[in-house]
Amino acid sequence: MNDFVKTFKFKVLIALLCVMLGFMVMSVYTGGTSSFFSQIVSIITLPAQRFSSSVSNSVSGFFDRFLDAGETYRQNELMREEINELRKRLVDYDKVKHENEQLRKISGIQQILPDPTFEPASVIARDPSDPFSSFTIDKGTLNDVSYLDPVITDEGLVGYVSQVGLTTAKVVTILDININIGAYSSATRDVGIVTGTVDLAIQGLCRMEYIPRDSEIEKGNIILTSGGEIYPKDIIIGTVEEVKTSASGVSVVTVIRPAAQIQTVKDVVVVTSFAGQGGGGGAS
Amino acid sequence: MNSTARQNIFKNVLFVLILLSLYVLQSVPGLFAIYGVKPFLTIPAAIAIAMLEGEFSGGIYGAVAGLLCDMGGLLLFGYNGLVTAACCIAAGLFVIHLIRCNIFAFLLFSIFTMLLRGAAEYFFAYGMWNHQDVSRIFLNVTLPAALYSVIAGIPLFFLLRWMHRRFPVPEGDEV
Repeated sequence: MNDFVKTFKFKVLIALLCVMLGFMVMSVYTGGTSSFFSQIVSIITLPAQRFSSSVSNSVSGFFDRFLDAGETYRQNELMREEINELRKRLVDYDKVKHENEQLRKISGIQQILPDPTFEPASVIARDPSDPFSSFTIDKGTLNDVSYLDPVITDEGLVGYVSQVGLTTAKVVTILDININIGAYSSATRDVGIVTGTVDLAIQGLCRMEYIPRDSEIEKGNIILTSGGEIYPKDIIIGTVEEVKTSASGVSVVTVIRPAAQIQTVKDVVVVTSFAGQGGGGGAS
Repeated sequence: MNSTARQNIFKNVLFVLILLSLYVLQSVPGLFAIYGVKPFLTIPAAIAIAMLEGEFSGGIYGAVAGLLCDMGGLLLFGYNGLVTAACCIAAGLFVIHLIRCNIFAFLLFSIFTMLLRGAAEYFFAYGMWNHQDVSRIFLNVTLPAALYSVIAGIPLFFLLRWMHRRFPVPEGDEV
């Protein structure tokens, strides 16, 4: 053993461990940017990851059709009821929309805010050790994806870009305990903060905290983003599943079922710029 | 270049390709997932390489395997590389000086490495921040993932041992 300590190989191995330590120190300072090694390997493995995730999605999608037949039937029935309800509401919506257009013409208000820009992406990897369903997408800085860009699906908010490389980016989801999103209830207009907890994340749920105690928020209410530097306004987060008083008794806490299928999502959209992003005019 | 050196290069190219393939497989969403738990495949493979090829090759492949895991994770880049490289060097040295290279030793080193990296990750990422119910992460995610990784590593150990026998280590580097 003493001989080994004196060898050239031993010195190389010590240098290797120092390099690993150096990577760790460097990643503290680079923050939201992937390391050089990570970016190079991402470029090499990206085609294989894209191919394998698409094959995996196709195979699991084929079997899911048969395995989830009962659940699909139940959801179908619920959807029919919801469609009937929405049709009734559509009549009111058209009327309000028309009135809104008339009022806008009268008051001369113009849409001066720039349109948001989107970048569609596919989920190519998931971290086996992350309980909050974080994932990697196949788009990076080459596609104008930036650190802190919001990530959504057609169903609702998924999370934000926490680290970005040339061709890939890592996404932290709304189930994460370190996430805080300004949100409000569309029905009652009560505002709060949406965040994750460990026990809810395991069930694919999150919660909204700091809602005023006198709030009339109830099960079924839709929760939307209140807007800010990271998230655009009025992105659907999810629906209220349960309402309870906080442990301190001074506010109300709600359990939220995310609108997006966070734990199984395969395709997402990155909002690369929107009005008010980063406190600026929209471009990131 | 003699045939032994050529075989050695060929074997190392195969090892790198295997690690890259395992990284792709372990990161594919939903693949190999049982109740949401997915295995790490690159780390047990690196442990097996360290036991078969010695501490030097093991340390290098351990670092590569760990860095591949770091690429998919949200923790500091280099953390898995450091832990896995250190464990692989230790595994290589243990096999040279103290214990025989067999499946039981592989299981022992693998479970030790997976628990060490899992426990440290749990502590630094969740445990020390006083979040509510955070111990459930260790019980529901860290421990099952460690056990699953070790079990998934068994066929990898036999595959890599077959390759090691097919392409023996050149003289001077023998275990």
